Amino acid sequence: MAIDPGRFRALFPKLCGALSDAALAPLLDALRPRPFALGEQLCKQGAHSARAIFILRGEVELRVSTPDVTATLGVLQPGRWTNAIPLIEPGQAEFDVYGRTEGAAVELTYGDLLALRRDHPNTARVFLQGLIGDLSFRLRACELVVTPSARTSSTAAGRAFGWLGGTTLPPNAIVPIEEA
Amino acid sequence: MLDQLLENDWLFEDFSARELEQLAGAMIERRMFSGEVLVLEEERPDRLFIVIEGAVEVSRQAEDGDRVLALLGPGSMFGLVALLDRGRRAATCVARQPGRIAEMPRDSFDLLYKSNAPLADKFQYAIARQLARDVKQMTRVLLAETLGG
Repeated sequence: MAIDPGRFRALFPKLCGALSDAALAPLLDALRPRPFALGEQLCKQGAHSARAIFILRGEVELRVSTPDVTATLGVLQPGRWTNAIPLIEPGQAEFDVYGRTEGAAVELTYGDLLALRRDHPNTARVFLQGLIGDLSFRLRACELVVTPSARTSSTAAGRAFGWLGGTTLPPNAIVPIEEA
Repeated sequence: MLDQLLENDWLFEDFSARELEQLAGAMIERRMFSGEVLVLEEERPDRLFIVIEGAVEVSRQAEDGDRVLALLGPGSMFGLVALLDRGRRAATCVARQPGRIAEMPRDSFDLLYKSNAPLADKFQYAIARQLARDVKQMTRVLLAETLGG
């Protein structure tokens, strides 16, 4: 599947920076199509993973389980991604990811990222800076939610928490959906 | 020498000897004392830190008092987020054991992070790896507190 650079850039501006279409091409070539169906599991929490998922069309739902409960964290819409951590450092996937609708995503594997860094360092640098910016925001968000202070309004914490679901969810939007 | 100490750091395992030397050249190594405040929550960031020896406690003020978020050991890089997003420090970091710490001033960090040099690519990836670990750890804490388990 050839991905249109203009469409990808519109969906993921932070991952593309000011790269020209020619500079963006190696990244688009490295992405692997991942269509998904309603209810299909794209990623299993705890299973080994070495790839990130970037949503192009449709929606996916993130779920997380503890020994006591399974909860939905939110919904990712086009332009959002998940599983960036195993892309950077392969390991256990953080969340279950299910198709909430039929849709299309692309994946980037750790191996392909290594090849991109080796063969197209400028493209990889811009892409990684986008991922780093997102991780950095996510870390701040976690800290705000874990230790709300007088300086942290519930609105700010809720806004910060939006990284999880792709929507602006307040912390109490982590709703148990079933007993595990 | 700092470059030899950095050689043992998991973050820099793919750096060549020459690159470690260059990285060490952008940093200052010094002793840290138990109880020394290295980073103060809400202050403007002016440097990045790497624990060489000893332990550093990360805490944050909450409504009900200080909350310890992590204990960092040798090989940990901290103070990244505020340098990256140009915000204020999100937490306070205090040495809990005497040891050694390496510091990279903000100007050097900015130069290296934005540079096109091969060393910058590896440094950037090291930052991504450290943040990935930090986020993973904090997400565990967050979910444990929210969902239990």
